[in-house]
Amino acid sequence: MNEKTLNHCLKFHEYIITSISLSNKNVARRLSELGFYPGAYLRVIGISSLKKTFLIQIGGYTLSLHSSVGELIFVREK
Amino acid sequence: MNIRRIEPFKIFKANSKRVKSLEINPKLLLVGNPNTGKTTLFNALTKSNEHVGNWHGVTVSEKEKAFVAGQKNFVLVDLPGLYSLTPLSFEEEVASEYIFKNPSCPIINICDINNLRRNLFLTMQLKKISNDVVLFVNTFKNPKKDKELQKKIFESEIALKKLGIKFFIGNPSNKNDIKKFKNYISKISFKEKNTGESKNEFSKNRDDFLEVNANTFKEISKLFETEVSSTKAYGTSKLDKIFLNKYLAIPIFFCILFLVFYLTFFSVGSYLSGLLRDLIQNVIGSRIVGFVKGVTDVAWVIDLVETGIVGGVGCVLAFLPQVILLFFFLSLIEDSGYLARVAFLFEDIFAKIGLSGKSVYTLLMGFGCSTTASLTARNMEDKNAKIKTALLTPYMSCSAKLPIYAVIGGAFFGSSNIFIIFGLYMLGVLVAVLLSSVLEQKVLKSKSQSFILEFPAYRIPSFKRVFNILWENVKLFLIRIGTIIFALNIIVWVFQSFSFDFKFVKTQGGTSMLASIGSWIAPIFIPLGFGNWGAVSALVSGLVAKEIIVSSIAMFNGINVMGDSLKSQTMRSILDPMAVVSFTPASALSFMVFCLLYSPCLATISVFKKEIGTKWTLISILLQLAIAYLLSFFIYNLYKLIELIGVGNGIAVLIAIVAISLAVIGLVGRLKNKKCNNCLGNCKKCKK
Repeated sequence: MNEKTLNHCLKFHEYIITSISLSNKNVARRLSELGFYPGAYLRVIGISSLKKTFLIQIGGYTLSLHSSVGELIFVREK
Repeated sequence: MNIRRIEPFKIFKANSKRVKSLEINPKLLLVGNPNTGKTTLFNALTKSNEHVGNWHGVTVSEKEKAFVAGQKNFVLVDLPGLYSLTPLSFEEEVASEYIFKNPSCPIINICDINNLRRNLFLTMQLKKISNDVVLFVNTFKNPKKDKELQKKIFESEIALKKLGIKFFIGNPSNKNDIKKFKNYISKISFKEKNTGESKNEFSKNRDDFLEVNANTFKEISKLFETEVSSTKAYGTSKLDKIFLNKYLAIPIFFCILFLVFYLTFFSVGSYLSGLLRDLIQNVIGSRIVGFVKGVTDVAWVIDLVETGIVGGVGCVLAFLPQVILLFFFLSLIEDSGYLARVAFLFEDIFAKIGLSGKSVYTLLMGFGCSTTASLTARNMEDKNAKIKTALLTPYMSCSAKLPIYAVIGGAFFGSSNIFIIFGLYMLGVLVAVLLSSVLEQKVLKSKSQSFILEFPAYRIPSFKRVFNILWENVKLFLIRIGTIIFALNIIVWVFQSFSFDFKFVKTQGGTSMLASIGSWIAPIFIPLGFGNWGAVSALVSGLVAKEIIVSSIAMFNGINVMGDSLKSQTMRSILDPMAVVSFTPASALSFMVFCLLYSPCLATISVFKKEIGTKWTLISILLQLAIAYLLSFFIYNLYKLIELIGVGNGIAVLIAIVAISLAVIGLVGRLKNKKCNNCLGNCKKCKK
């Protein structure tokens, strides 16, 4: 299946979300309200210098996510 | 929470002839995701000037205002942005609570046409609780010459018709669109009934939110005929290849920052200040004083006008152009969308010291005004990050301290003053970083950073929006001069001109009240190099407003607006060892560092008390005084040492001090972490 967290994703690659961890319920809820759900597509377009923040394209818009949020998102390569 | 209300009946007074024909209608709630144009629409409908910014978190409490549409009178409530009815931050809770407490109020839900699919998530939730939802789809610009926007409008119309919701597509900055929208609303007959869905539907305790929300997004996808392209997304731009480049991004940011400082404090700012100064002294000030001399010959009255009023206020007013420029550049950065990129750049670095990238807005605003900046800390989700951000804001040297650096630094350091000023700003930032690290380690540990930041698209800053932000801040600066500083200048003049037995000391001799008080406190500041009553009294008056410090020094040194320019006179006076307030290069630097770091003005302190509580406000003041004292002492003595032994040797000593300090800190850290010999790490103390 090659499932991994968003923090291990490569720049300019496209992924499908497989699951969202509920270890931080508030953050998981906010992610689901922003269009992160199993089956949604996303693309990593930027990774910060210390790899703590990721720029993501999802659902036609751009977000930056901290790595602590990225840990909750499980994806596989499209 | 502050609720600013303008009673709808006030418009009845202005339009008394229309009163009988106006129909009173319910409140309309303006709801939408952050940064979709709610406040722009609010301002356009109600013809007001609330603060607008290309950044979420700009609106932090609800605002109400009346407007007329057709023959109907409505009250519009602008709520802070929220992504869903299940709130996460304080401002979302404000909005969500207000919506649930007013279930019968119709809702105007504003969406961004560039993010419609995501924005419709909130719309779907609002439809569950209200039958009266009107959608305003914000196009942000005129679609006439934009084919891509026309395509988006066409797609949106089809999707929204399928959704079965009342909608209007337009640009709130366009007067014609606003007229059409008002006409549209006036024709709607609102039912004033909610659907009966309760708050429990959106409770934080629901466990099936992933499934429910996923289904909502799938329903939204079905409304649209085309799939979303993964290569073209709103918020990205070719400019990001430069501004977010791995190696160039931060140097570019610092170059932009330095350019802003250079233009503000020197070149353009300096030239405009000179023009205004000439206007104040040679035109306005001299005429006022001449008029007063013609009317009376009472010495204290003439002195009050010349020294207290014209001299004091004029000295600060001459810096108005620089304040305008500083706010102008800050609002350009905010409005263009670059601010979000700056937050992304600094997120990693800020996280190391327990702040989030969202703090960058508050801290940048602190360079303008600590008072308004501290207010924006409200949008932090993490309470500890909010307290830290508010505590650190005063270390971002605000515009009110600028006259101090320009006058005192300019007197001693001439053309090198730009580097001194830049160094002071960087010192403030460095102290803030160190303090944040210490607070993060010891007392205010942040919870895990749940940092999610939406990226706005770049846009050409709108002159109107920039002007509105500028005008708000300049008005605040002018009002402070006109009211608080004016009143305080008079009070300081009274303390400086009269003795405790109310004799006018300039003509009747004696020691002024301020001199007496200053001389009691002054010995404490001898180790810092400025242990004279004038400098200390100026610092005390600066607690009320920092702009007063320079005008106080001018007043104590007997500077008036006549003759040479006010700034250069004050600068000359502080070089004179016989003046009431005089400095040496070392004590001038020490004084500027103290002004940079000590307690902020009372307005900021009152915001602190409201936002972070009395306990942290008092801790903040004590910390600031302690840090200011220690650093001023260090810098004064280091400068004296360099003067004594030369620059090279002085730098060597400084390096040695830093190395020894680091070694001591490292040793203390190792001793703390050392495990007991007996327990081998198993006792309670070691486990901690």
